[in-house]
Amino acid sequence: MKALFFGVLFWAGAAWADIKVHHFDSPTQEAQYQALIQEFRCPTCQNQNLAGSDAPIAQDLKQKTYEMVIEGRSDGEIRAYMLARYGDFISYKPPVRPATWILWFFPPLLLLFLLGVWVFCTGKKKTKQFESAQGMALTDEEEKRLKDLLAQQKEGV
Amino acid sequence: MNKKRMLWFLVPLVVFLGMMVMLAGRLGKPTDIVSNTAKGRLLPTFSLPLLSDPNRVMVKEDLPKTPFLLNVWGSWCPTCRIEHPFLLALKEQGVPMVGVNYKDETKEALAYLNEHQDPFLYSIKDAEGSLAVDLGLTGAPETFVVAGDGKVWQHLAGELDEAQWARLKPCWQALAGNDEAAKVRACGDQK
Repeated sequence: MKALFFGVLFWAGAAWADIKVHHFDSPTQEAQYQALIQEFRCPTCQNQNLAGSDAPIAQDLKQKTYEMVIEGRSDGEIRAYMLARYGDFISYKPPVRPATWILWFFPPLLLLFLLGVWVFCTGKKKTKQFESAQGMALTDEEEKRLKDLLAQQKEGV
Repeated sequence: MNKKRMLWFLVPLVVFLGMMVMLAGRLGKPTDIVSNTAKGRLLPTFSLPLLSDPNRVMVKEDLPKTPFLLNVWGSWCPTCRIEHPFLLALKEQGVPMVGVNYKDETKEALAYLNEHQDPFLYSIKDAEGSLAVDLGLTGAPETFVVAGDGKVWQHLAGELDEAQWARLKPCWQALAGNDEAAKVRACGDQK
């Protein structure tokens, strides 16, 4: 029991020792670092970003990102560095170029298209209602009869 | 009116069937994205100590001048242990291999090689993973088929086994020759 207790104690200690604390010169740099590790994908455990991953390669890439942030490199430079090594896949925000056009432009275009269809359809419906209303309009003969009826009613009063 | 109703029925049906065909085509296939940025490029430059003698610094120019395999491994990596007997078999066949000891403790790495035998000509010690990042590594083990001039022709992420070697071997053999067309044929597209 005692051995188990110490085992857990030391194991936990080892787990803590793994966490690296990064020191930044300014809050801007820290924000830049945080944003970038949120944006980059972990190459080992796909569908996790670097921030959420503890795989060896993710640690390396976080460290590399940290170093480049401290060196004062721009987001673009750091992104280019990662892209050169891991391809578009590394970023959850892939660059815009012909190969990625469908990714960037298809959803808004689809939305526009569907909005268009919607507007077109509702417009058509309205005209139709209007037309049927027109169809229900009284003919001259009916109009005359209506007037007569109203006149009779008035006389009655 | 009937025609229109038919359309309301047919359009979603066709869309649905199309999606079924698309999704069924992907069933059972791996969904992992394999990044192969190292393929078709020269190896990155490096300057790292030798695992067996940390005082000796190895650079890219020290690598073999004949086609070889660059294998990234670590004593902590379970798949590397599974792969190890096959690497020893390749050594028997005379395939030159250079190891990259990735993010490992020197003591543990040397103990691992002592225990399981060393299939490598030598291993480079990449304690910080700097070479690994330049190689576009996704994990260990990974194997690169490299020509004598340092160009990477094939990149395998994961275990190197009989089936994978059947794919990589013709490439490795072709690289020893001078026939450029044969290299492309054996190693596949090098975009």
